[in-house]
Amino acid sequence: MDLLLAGFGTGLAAIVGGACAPRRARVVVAGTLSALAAFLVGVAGVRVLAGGAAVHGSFSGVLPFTTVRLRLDALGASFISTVALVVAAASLFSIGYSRGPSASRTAVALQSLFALALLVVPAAGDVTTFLTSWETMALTSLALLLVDHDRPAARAAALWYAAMTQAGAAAITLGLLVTSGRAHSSSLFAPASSHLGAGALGAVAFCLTAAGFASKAGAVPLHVWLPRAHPEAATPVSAMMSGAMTALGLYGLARVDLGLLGGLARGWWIGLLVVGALSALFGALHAVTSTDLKRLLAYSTIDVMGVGLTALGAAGALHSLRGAAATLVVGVLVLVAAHGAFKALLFLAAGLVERASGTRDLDLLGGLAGGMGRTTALVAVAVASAVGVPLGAGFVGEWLVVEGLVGALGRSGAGGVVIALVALVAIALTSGLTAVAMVKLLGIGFLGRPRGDGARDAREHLGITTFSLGLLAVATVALGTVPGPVVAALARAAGVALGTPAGAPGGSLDTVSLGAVATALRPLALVTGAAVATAVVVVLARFGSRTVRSAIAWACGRADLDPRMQYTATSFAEPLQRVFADVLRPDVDLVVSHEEESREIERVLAYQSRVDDAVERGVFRPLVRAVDAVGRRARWIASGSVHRHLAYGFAVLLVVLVVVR
Amino acid sequence: MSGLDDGLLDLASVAVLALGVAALWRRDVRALIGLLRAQGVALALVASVEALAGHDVALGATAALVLAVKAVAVPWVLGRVAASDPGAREGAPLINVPSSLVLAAALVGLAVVVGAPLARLSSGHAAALAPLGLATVLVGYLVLVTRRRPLSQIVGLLIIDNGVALVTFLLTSGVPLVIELGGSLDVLLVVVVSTTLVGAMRARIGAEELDELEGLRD
Repeated sequence: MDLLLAGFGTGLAAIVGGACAPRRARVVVAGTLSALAAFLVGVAGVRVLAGGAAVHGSFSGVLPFTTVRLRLDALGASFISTVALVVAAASLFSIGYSRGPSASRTAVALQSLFALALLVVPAAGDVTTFLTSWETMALTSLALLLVDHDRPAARAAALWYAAMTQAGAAAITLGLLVTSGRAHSSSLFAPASSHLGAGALGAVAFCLTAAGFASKAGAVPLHVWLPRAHPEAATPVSAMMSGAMTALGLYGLARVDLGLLGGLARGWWIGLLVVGALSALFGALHAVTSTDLKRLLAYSTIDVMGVGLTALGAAGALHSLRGAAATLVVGVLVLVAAHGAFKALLFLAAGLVERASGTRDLDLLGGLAGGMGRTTALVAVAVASAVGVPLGAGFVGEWLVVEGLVGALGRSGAGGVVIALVALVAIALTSGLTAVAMVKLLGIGFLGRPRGDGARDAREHLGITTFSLGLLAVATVALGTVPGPVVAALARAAGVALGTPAGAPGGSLDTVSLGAVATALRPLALVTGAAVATAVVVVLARFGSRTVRSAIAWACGRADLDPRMQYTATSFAEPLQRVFADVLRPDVDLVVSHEEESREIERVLAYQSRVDDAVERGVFRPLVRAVDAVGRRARWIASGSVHRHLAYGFAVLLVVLVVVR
Repeated sequence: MSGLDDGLLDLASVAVLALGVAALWRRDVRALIGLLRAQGVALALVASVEALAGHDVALGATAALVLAVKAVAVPWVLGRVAASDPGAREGAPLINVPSSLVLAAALVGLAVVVGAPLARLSSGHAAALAPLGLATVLVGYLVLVTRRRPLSQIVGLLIIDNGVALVTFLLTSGVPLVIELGGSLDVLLVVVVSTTLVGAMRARIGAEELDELEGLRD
């Protein structure tokens, strides 16, 4: 507890430092203190995860009218460690990165407050503390979006985000009120035998809280804020939003819905699974077609969180199959940790690229490997993790999720088999699409030749920014190659969420083993094998063939390759966009201008395709228009006459007097 | 509490309400301010009768405070504004005087009916008069809604405040002095701010009545 409190205290000091320190020192002071706070809280989380007892404490007088209760158990610790890693890296990054409006007094203090709120949420022990920290997190991130309020895109994103996040917070509040009203307790830590999810009220509580938490995690159709807000925020903030804040949506689902609402009808969990599968596919598809670097990353967040939602839904639906459910939850926790690390890295790298080249448009990038070699290498590590190839951190999570589902196939009735199959198919398709999107990100954005002046002149400056990227890359690689201890620790967290640790996967230094199935993952063996194989190939190449002929690869016999001959982000995604045209409904413009002398000779072909968010276009735009129309119609109510407004008050007073009597 | 005290209390409480109703009838702004002054005196009388009956020194101080603020300071501030525009009269009110008097009668009836639970809150004679305070609040609100001139509206607001004060004096024998002090200062502040606003309105836009501000919308 002392460590946790020290961390929170340092976080408060960071806010004060950001608000009070002089201009030059502000960013350094706040960033260092925030990173230190995250480090302390992270160590506290790791200690709980490594087998320490859950820590708790209550403090009166901190907030008016209520007592602040903190409690950190293994489940909270698993999320707090991820959040701490992301916050630490982003805070260090901002020391070397923040300038202009995002280095203003308000912005720096708000960013520290946002970081602190992110760290408090998983440690909240009762409903009021949780809601207070949750709302602080939502409001500060909203305010941080508005730091750069001169840009219309940022203002529009803030408006969407404000509406969605406040609606979500309201739903969560109502759902938690229903739950704690039934439980006669405001604790978030129910006994294992709770039946708070039973009956109609349980379903209401589930729907409200799940909608709120899932919208934070970017579930379709409540995701519309995410691809707008994450790219528009300042880079460290968008890294924290994407790597940590969305994960807290999954934390809420695991803590409240999985942990608290026992006895819920199975159908609701299947509903969550379907929503998750749709989100994963939707996010992956849009990630494939996005040409904006940060927008691609934002959609890829929806995709990973969708996989997480799918797995959580399956875990809830297959709750009776202990081994399968536990494996699924551990898979989600690993996925969250992996996603936090690699997505924060990618967002931070995207910020560096944008600053160095002046653009985020993948069509204008390319060839960054030349000027930004280290960044490119680090991005490649993150991309490998995101794609889900072995030795990447994402692979461990997806492997556990898939194993959990496969394990459920053999041991459940027809219903369970269908659930598992649907989830498996969705995850498989999603993985494929994610791979395309990530290959596009690395191959089109960083490799090849520069397609724009900005990309050609982009240079990197080594410093604390690269260091924080490296920190995240080390975490990613460690999680990918030595996942055993992490999985063993997270199994305890899954036990907290499910009420029993039975059947959870275990792990040692070199092995991840499943409790239920005789399958194991040995990444270290894979590393050794890959190293040996590489060495053999290198040795053979060195001694086998003496003659080396150098030529341009993939040049098809031509030596005068032009940057315009490469794939662009748009052309790379075009085949898939064509396949999924019915879902994506792209707007394609093909403008042909002819030579003046002859209509037969085409001078310029301009191809433009834009993929709008179909959900936004089909659901939210009409909704906004309808609300707007009602608002316009209702304008006569407020005619501007003082007497009329006073009369409204008078009439209401009279009605209240008569009714209340 | 002796019979004389009860009688005085009856008289003073009814006076507060009657002066409020009279504000619906008079149109001359200066006459309205006079009514407000008289209402302040009546309210102070209510408080001092209760203070004497209960031998309550703090309540006596409150009575003095009420007299100072509601019968002297506020009317004086309003009077200064009225003096800058001599002969100001309320134009035709939104509801004509006879109708508003009938409405006031209906409101008093409503107050007596819905205020019955108020009267039962405490057992003494004073509590039985509490619906009068509620009636004063409603009448004050009617003044606020139907008058066009800003100054008359401020008078309506102050009548509401006097009604609220009457209820508290009758039900709880007055609130602690600190709260009364805070409340009175708030009222004084509101009056000062609104009179400044009236002056600014007159100077900037030349508007004499609030309805003329409607064009400022959007």
